[in-house]
Amino acid sequence: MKKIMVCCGSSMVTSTLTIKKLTEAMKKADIPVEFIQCKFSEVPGKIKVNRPDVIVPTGALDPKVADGIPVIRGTSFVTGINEKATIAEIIEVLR
Amino acid sequence: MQLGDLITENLILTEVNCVTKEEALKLLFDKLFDRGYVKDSFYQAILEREANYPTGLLLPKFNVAIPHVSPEYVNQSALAIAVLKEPVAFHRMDDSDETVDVHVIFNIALADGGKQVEVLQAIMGLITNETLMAKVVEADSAAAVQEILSVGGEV
Repeated sequence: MKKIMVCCGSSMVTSTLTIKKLTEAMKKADIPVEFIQCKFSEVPGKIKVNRPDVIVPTGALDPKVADGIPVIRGTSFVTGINEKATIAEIIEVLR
Repeated sequence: MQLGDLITENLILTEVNCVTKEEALKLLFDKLFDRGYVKDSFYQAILEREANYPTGLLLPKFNVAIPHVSPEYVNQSALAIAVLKEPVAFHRMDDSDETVDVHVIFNIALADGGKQVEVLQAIMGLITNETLMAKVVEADSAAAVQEILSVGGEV
């Protein structure tokens, strides 16, 4: 089981949408995943406990807080542009 | 809830003449607050949110911003829209060091249980439809924008 951390600004709107889209994409790719959803401000604390395989922030996340975990920006899930390329990048990291 | 239910003529501003995003966001806030949709803390919360986690989206043709905050600042779900005469700069969601010139602002005010995701998805459908957005940018009245978006929002 792979762990994907999806984070966003504060209101959980864009991250919820991203999780919805990634759930479908991962099912299609046949990769079992679990999601960790949080605010940007909670990332440093949560990654210590959960150690996700990849972090997908919907906006700009300070790369320093990722602590070596790959970060793939997920703004395309909000704009709908280049979603497929982002999904391919995430799959590549997970495999 | 359909996007069409959230779009009401009296929350749409057209031919808005603003130089800064703060001005535009204040106009939108006044509309929302006067009608009781949001609390008086909403404007400050929106500004703080934009400062920390901006919402400007770079799109192929017409850039937009989707300022939104958590439900605690909202009384009743609503969507206020500003179509700007001249674009104003917002910082980009995917790169807060960069700015984009935004043509249309979708100020999303969602109360608890306001189906955030469905609303955001519907808005995404609109903003990536260049034909529709071209009509919105050209529209000269709130009624015209409402009509364009209500039709587009059902697709």
